[in-house]
Amino acid sequence: MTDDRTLVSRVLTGDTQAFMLLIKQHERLVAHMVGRLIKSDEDREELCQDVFLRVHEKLGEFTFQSKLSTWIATISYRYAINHLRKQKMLYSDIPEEEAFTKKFIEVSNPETIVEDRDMDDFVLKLVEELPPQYKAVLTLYHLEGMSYPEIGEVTKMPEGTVKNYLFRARNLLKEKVKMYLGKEELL
Amino acid sequence: MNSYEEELQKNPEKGESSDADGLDIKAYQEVFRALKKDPGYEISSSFAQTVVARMISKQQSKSSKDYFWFGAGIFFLAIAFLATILFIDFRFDFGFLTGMADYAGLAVFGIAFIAILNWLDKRLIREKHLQSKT
Repeated sequence: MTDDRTLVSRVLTGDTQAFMLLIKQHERLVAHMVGRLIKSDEDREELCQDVFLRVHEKLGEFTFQSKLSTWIATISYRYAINHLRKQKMLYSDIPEEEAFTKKFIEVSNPETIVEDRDMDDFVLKLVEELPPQYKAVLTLYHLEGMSYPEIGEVTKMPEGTVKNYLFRARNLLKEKVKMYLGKEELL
Repeated sequence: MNSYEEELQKNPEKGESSDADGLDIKAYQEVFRALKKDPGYEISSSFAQTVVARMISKQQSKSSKDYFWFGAGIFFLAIAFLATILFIDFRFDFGFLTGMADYAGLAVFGIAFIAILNWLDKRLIREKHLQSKT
């Protein structure tokens, strides 16, 4: 695998093959970030492309103060959040903890629970119902294996907030899964 | 953060299974396992090629735009120049050159003299200076 510095310098000289390699190396990361936050399939693909076009445009300004992947994740996160704002989708501060927890846990569709025999799919569907900030933190931590400071850098959240969001998101998911498991045990 | 819940999250986070029994632990294990799974969205196989094609087309369009604005700049500069000439009723005046017309010989001598001085400077003075350096 070509190291980041060599790859970046090659892209900056106009090497298209190097840029394609950069895309290949980071497309999974971008797809995860955008895929988690954006629901529409059409928008996802275009947004992922836009992220890499921005990466190419701004690569000359990248100073290696962080990992290349962290920088690309930051761009992906901002693009996804801006897209949500443009679509006038609900992107605001995290709703009040108690009210949101109650709503999230209580609103359940028994049919979905019965249909979703695969627990992993069931949990992934639940993740989609979480606020974007929670989804981003979960993705960066569990899928990308980023550390708390790295997630903080990507999302511009303080480290304490990152830890708190991660804890709360998992806790919400657990409560819902617990309900599902409880029902299953009764059957 | 709830310390009981925090404690429950520790083991599955480390990837360790817990001996403790209970629905909470089981639920957390399910959650942690599922969170490691891909969200299900995959980008197309020709993704990199599409991005590169868009990048090239963007660069070409940017370059055409640059040429357009360059041309437009020159055009408007010429318009502004002409408009200024018309508005202030400017007349070209060769000034001192009209007075010099009676001294054409002097002007030719001046030009020739400067040219000879430059030639001498190149051939004699600079060469000597370079030799003394080496």
